[in-house]
Amino acid sequence: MTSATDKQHPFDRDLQQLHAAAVRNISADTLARLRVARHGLARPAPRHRHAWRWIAAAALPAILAVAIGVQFLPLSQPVPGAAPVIAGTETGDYADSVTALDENPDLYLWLASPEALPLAME
Amino acid sequence: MRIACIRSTMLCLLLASGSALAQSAPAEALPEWDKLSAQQREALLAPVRERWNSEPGQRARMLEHAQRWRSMTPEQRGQARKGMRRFEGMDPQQRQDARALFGRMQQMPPEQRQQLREQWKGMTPEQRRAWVQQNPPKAMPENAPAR
Repeated sequence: MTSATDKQHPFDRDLQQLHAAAVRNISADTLARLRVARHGLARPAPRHRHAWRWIAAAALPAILAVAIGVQFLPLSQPVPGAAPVIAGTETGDYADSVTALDENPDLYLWLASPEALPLAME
Repeated sequence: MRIACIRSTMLCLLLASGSALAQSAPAEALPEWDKLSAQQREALLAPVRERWNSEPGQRARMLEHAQRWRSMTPEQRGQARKGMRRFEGMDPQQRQDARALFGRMQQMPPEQRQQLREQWKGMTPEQRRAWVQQNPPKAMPENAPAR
């Protein structure tokens, strides 16, 4: 009865013997480092299970403070997207700049004059 | 799941803070024109730009009116704004009456203007419609918006 090694090709057998000899020659320190490295790879990465609590604990009060604080701040900065009012007026008390340009301004001026006020047109 | 909850909470808080910011913006806090942001100026000018681009036939008229507004004194502009508010309270027929009366009176000497004022006061509504038809306002150009 022949062993499995005897049935192998001589080249394969020589390689296996070389590999075994090389393994036997590895130092104990190297083997220990390899064992530690292998163990470390096999271990799952530690999970930061409570990280979200820290993030929430830090972020939520800050956002709440901003939300509450702006209620009390005097608004001195321009407000983007303000409602359109007519440009170039002192008071901005008429709403539609297009209306101002549709008619002759002298017509408007006349309508508010003592001459036109008694004329009932409405 | 936890991450989704955190994201939802933070989104709600950000929206709440944005709403608080919007509610705390009184209109009287807006600054002078020179201090407005480019975005605000754009919002203010957008209606005029839209009208300018959409109605090429009205451009000369709009520019003439803008130049007239600019040439007015502050007191005249204040009076004109009062007149504009009066005009805005009129219906289309009344606006046509005002245009006709104004156009006609602009061509008259003071004594004839006084005479027309007295004449207008004594007219019935039907007589006024007839007078306006006989004295149509010539200042209204074609395609003018019926405002």
